[in-house]
Amino acid sequence: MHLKYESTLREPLVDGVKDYHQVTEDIISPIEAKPGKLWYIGFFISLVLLGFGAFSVFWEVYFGTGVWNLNKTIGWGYDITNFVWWVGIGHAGTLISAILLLFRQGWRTGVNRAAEAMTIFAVMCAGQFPIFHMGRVWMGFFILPYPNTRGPVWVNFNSPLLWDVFAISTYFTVSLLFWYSGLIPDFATVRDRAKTKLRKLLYGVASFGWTGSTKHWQRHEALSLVLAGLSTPLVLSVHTIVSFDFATSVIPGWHTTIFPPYFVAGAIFSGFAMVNTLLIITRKILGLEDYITIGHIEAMNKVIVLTGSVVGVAYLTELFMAWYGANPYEFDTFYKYRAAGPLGWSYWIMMSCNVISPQVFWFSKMRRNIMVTFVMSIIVNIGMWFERFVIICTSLYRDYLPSSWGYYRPSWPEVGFYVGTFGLFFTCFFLFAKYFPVIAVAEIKSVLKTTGKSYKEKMGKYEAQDVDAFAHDQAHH
Amino acid sequence: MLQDGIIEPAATALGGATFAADAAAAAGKISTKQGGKLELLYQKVAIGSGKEANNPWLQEMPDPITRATWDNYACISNTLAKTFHEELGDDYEINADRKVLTIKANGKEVKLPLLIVPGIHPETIAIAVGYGRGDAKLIGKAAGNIGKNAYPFVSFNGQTFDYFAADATATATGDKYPVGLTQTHNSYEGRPIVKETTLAEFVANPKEVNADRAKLHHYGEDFAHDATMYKDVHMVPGNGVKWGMSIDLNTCFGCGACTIACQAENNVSVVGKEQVIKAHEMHWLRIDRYFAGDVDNPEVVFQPMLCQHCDNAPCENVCPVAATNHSSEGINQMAYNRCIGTRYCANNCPYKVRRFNWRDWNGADSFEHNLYDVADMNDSLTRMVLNPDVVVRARGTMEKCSFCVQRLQDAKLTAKKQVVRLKMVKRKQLVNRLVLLTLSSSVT
Repeated sequence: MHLKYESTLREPLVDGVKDYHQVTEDIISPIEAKPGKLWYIGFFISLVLLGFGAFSVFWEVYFGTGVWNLNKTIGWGYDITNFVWWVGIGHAGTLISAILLLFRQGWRTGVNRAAEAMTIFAVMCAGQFPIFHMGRVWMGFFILPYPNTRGPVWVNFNSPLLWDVFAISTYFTVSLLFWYSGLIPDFATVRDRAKTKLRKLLYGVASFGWTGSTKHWQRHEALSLVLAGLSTPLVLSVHTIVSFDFATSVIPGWHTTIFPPYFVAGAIFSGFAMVNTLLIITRKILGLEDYITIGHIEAMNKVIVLTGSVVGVAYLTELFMAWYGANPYEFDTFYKYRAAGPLGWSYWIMMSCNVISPQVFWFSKMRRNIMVTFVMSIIVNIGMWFERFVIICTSLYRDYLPSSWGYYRPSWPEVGFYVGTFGLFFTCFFLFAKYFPVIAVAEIKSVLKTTGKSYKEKMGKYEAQDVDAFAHDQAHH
Repeated sequence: MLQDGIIEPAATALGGATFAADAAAAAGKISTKQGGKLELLYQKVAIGSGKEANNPWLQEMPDPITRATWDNYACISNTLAKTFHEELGDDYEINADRKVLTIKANGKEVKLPLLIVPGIHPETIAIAVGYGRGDAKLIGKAAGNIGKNAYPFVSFNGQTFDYFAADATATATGDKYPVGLTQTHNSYEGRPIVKETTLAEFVANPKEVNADRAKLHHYGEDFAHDATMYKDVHMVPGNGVKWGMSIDLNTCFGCGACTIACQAENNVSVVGKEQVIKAHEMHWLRIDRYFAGDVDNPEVVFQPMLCQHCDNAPCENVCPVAATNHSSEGINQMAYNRCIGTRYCANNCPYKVRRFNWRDWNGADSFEHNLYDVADMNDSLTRMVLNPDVVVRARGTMEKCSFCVQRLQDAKLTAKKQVVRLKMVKRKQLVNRLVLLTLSSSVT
């Protein structure tokens, strides 16, 4: 066995004195125990929200999109705002699982399982909006290009909405595969420890007959790498395509070439904020502070301050271009009706939440403060919601012809639909936290002996050793 | 037009011409008492004396000046409105709720919401007659429970009826009442949407009107071709018929008759006041009205607005299912059956002429008990008003001006039948003939 060594200057990724068995105990035992009171309360609230959301959607589908307050001028409001917001949130999971894997960032092991779960649930929530925003949702299958008996009727490949269909469905599929393939060894662990027949059966089926043989591990690693390779372009492409919905249109405030990078940065920004929100609660409730350490939280806060600043630069670039571009309609949109005007308040909420407040994370003390991080993670997601609202509504409500200018306030089914997706998200997340290992057990074990605190402390004696003795003891085995 | 809105009893029939002759005489008779306001009663172009009050099309036809539907109200100037702490601006624009005034004159009173009309005299309050006809059960579903009756203000001076009162007072009640306007923003914001000039100026300097285009010359000589990245397939000679419509803006005075003609021809749905407030009205053809210049003494311009049937239309390339597409004759057409209702086309329309079926206005969807019918327009008898040449559109689909494609097709068929050997006719003559036939079929 080689000596596993990592500089003691690097912060440990696993705190406490752990061996492999202890890691399994810490992460798997909540699955085997009855959930606590808080879990039941949270799950019940989620189900209530989900039920209300389902009722709101029923109301809209039955009586028509007119029960929403969209109108002849503003054809998209809460629906597409929420769609883009949820899709954006998903991006952190893919970034953590794919790009950080390729960049060999060891800290991803503590958070990747939950972040990927978040991605999948967020994309599920996002998908509801483009589906139910359709006036005739029962005809929604028209959007799928498949050989059909409706004559030579085909989809319109020029439409960014069609690109969305491909982008989102690919994204969901790849994310789901990636997440599930990582879960297989951990499901097998649960199966092997199972004391009840039902648990053994269900986790046995879920783990696809995993035995832990070298061949299995080899294939598993190869699959992970392939999926990481597939997911990496998706981190960039999915939100790029979502931004094309706006960028390829003719509406001032939408027709902007900066949108793809700006949307991707914003997506990662909001996604990491959501990961923080979820993990700060999860680590507390499941007692996983040793695995999701302050170091993990700090690393994510660094991503937040970086992407938040990228987004800030994008906002300022847009303002500059609205002036420099000398298009009077675009100038009016940005300076008269977005930064000012009846919806101007939303712009300033966006600016303060997304650009100004994340700047506190330049300070290490703030990055490592749980309370500050939690509050900021909520603020960032409020800001990012308003970013999408600003882009969609403040561009539409006062566009070319002033005779059609309007205003927009959501109605109860619109708010209900949004609230309902929170219900869907948290229902899924609570089930995940109860029945799935929320931290990738196998992956933590792979970094434990390099980066575990108790193992790093044992390195002191080697560092004191002189080089020849060390080489004699360790290098020539 | 509102200032001109006094109807002398001798000329009860509508007509600006009759009225212009009487205006000086009428003005001479009127003098306000100290401190009182002048109250004028007028007939709306759509509702008249009230005889059209039961016609939902006409109730929903926006008033040419106020753009209001389904109500009467107290028209006052911005200056007078300020005394009630109301004025034109964003707040006034984005809220449909209007302050309710108590208007007293001739010992009678009525409570009506105020509506600011730029250009009306600051000491004048104008109210339309023909509203407040009573309960819906007695008078009919469209006319019932709408507006307030202003006829009690009419007085008899021994010879004729006075449709004004010189001693009117208005006080705020503290209540609010929503009024459904189809247009809330009054200014065209200096944009080159409407271009105005006088004949004298035009004769003196004919190029001035389009002087702003000179600034765009360095983008290319011909904007229609240079501004697009698409290959121009629309103006190629030899493609056959290419439809267009010209509207003489010099002649248009905004009466709205075309809006109703379009509504009748194309089975355009009536949506009712609540939905007008939500900006869900369905008119394919509307008249935009802009005020220009001084708020107290503005000029008024009208601009009929309908689908422009753009070549390289922005709505067409964003539809994911190609439900809206271009015909070989230059028409931007809708395949209603194909539409899934994403509304992307409407968002991307620079003219905002696309209309979405927000509700089931006419029983054309497959859900039961969700009909949204404000004026009994869907019973078997009333449905006979529908034009059988045009389909009714289902809830959840987009619709818009079709250039009356049913008439175009009809004209082509008629031409085919009448001009037996089309090949013998030169194309130019054919097109001329088609235009004539279309015109004649729209007359018949």
